[in-house]
Amino acid sequence: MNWTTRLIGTLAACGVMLGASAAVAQTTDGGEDVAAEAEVDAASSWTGHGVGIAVRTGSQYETDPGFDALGDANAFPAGGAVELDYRLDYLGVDGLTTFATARWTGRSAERFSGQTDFDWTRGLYMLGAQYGPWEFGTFRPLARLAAGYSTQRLAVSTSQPTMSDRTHDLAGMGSIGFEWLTPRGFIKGAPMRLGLLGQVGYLAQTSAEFDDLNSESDDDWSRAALDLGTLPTSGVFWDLGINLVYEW
Amino acid sequence: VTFSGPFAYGVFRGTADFGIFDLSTGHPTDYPLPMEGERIFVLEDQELILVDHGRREGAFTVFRGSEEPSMDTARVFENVFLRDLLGQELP
Repeated sequence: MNWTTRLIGTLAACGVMLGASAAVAQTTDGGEDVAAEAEVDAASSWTGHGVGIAVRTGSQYETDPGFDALGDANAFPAGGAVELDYRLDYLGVDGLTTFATARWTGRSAERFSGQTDFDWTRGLYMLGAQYGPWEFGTFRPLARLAAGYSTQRLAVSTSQPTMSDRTHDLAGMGSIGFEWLTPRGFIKGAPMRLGLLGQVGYLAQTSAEFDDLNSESDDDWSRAALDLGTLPTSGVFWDLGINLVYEW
Repeated sequence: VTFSGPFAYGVFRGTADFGIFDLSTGHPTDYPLPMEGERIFVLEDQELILVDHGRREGAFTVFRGSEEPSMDTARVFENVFLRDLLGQELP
């Protein structure tokens, strides 16, 4: 599935959810007055706390020659990401949020006329903070920073038993983005807000050393480990997502 | 087949083992390999027996020649030609 198809699917899903929430917010006679009153009540009663959950998808660009073994393209799917965030506005800093993110991606390639298969996966687990002042109460630009842990697995399959290795590295991320949320009280009867997210930034990671690939063969022969070298996976990335926020 | 001293060493097509023939008695002894071998070499200076399995990615089994060949005296090297592949720009 290419990135344009993912983008269209993400935006379509957002459109469906916003349409459903708009239907929930509508009422019969005097509907506009009731909705406005609900929004005012929700805004005035908000104590600065909130938790949100988001899903994101996008791409990362990688131009290091080490990635040639994993395919010809200079970009790979940034995969899927799930984020949990907690709003810290009650501390008196309007627009400050802390978040935890988990991102998964992978890439497979056949090289050397299909004689060699490479299979690479990565998991990123980071904690971070983001800041952005709210404009009109529903939109804000964001600056985001995060740091954490990365684990990667590389498997090589040839005419011989598959050999694989797993690495553990440090990772960090810096990005700029945006967040758009439905107004408070938009979803009548629930302190929930739906939103769209986006960001572009740079993902930095210590280079993964795949120098100890061991055979997955289960026989009793002693096999030497394979050293494939170093795979750098830092690069520019972008993603889009949707989120759901509960405030109190 | 290769010769070294009073012995001849050979690999067999279709089976994952190799044989050592005592030329003075004609007595053959078979030893197992992890996979079918294509060529066999005896490195007398290093006292090693090297079996090339003829794989495109490179696969070799090395036995200590000073001891009777077995799994315990052997080490298998696989995908040898892929070493340091990640550091190379590929076509």
